Amino acid sequence: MKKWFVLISMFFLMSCAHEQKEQQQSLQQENITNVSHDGSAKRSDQQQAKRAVDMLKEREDVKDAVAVEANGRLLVAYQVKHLHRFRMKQIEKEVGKALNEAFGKKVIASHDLKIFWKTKALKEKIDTKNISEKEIEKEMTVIQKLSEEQT
Amino acid sequence: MANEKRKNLTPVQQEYHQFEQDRETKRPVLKNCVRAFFVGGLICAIGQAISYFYMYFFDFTEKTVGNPTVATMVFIAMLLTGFGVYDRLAQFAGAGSAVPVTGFGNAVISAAIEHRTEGFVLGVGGNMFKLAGSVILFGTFSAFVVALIKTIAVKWGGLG
Repeated sequence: MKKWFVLISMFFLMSCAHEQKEQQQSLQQENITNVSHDGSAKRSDQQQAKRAVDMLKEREDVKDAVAVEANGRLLVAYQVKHLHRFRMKQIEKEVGKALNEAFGKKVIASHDLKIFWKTKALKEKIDTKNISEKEIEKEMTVIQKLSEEQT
Repeated sequence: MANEKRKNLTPVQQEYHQFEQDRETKRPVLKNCVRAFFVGGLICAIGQAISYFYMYFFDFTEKTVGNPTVATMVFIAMLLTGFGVYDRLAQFAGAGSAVPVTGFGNAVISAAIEHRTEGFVLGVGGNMFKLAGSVILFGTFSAFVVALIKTIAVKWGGLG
């Protein structure tokens, strides 16, 4: 019994330690996106993407957001805070409506984690390497196709 | 036993009932619940790790990652059942190992192992889905009923 108690408490401590690390990571992520915001501001073709990110970050239920734009298309990926995920459909509807109203161009919005990772990688690529709009569009099409997959 | 029924018993039967109740081993319900909670949670955490693996290294989204994750979890549970590890885990965790999808893999393979001596077709093939078959049947049927209720509610009830 004592052995189990020790094991269970060890498990608890380990999960607590990881949670702290995760919190730190998410804070770091926020810093990274903040830093990259400054980077994207330099590119004049990413102004609306920056506006979309700022708009989403104002929402209480959105944890993090990242956006990329190219050739009249705006790709927005966001993460919803854990307990707010119960209202995911409603949030999805609200965000989609708000983005469509604010931006005249075709908006692709997704709360999927994989889409978030992919969009973030693309954004970092745009910030660090000076890739052309055609290449951005090509990658955006791949991400859009991925986000539309059903099974 | 219900009080109504107990009244109909003879004094000797009532005495035996009391005798039995005094000596009956008490079930450690709380301990079982704690064990099931932790082991079930651990299995779910492993499942979450596998789904993150598929999302990170392959082109699966949160929407599509469910299928490969479930298949992998069931496959791992089948291997562990074959090696005799899952049975020990099930003895310790009870519902914690039976309720997650890994319990399904265990049910299929344990039935197959049990009836192996009766031959591959009539033994393994015929008895493999003895327990898991009902799970599939009830799962499919209840999904059909829920989908029917939802369709009716959306079409005529104005929901959604």
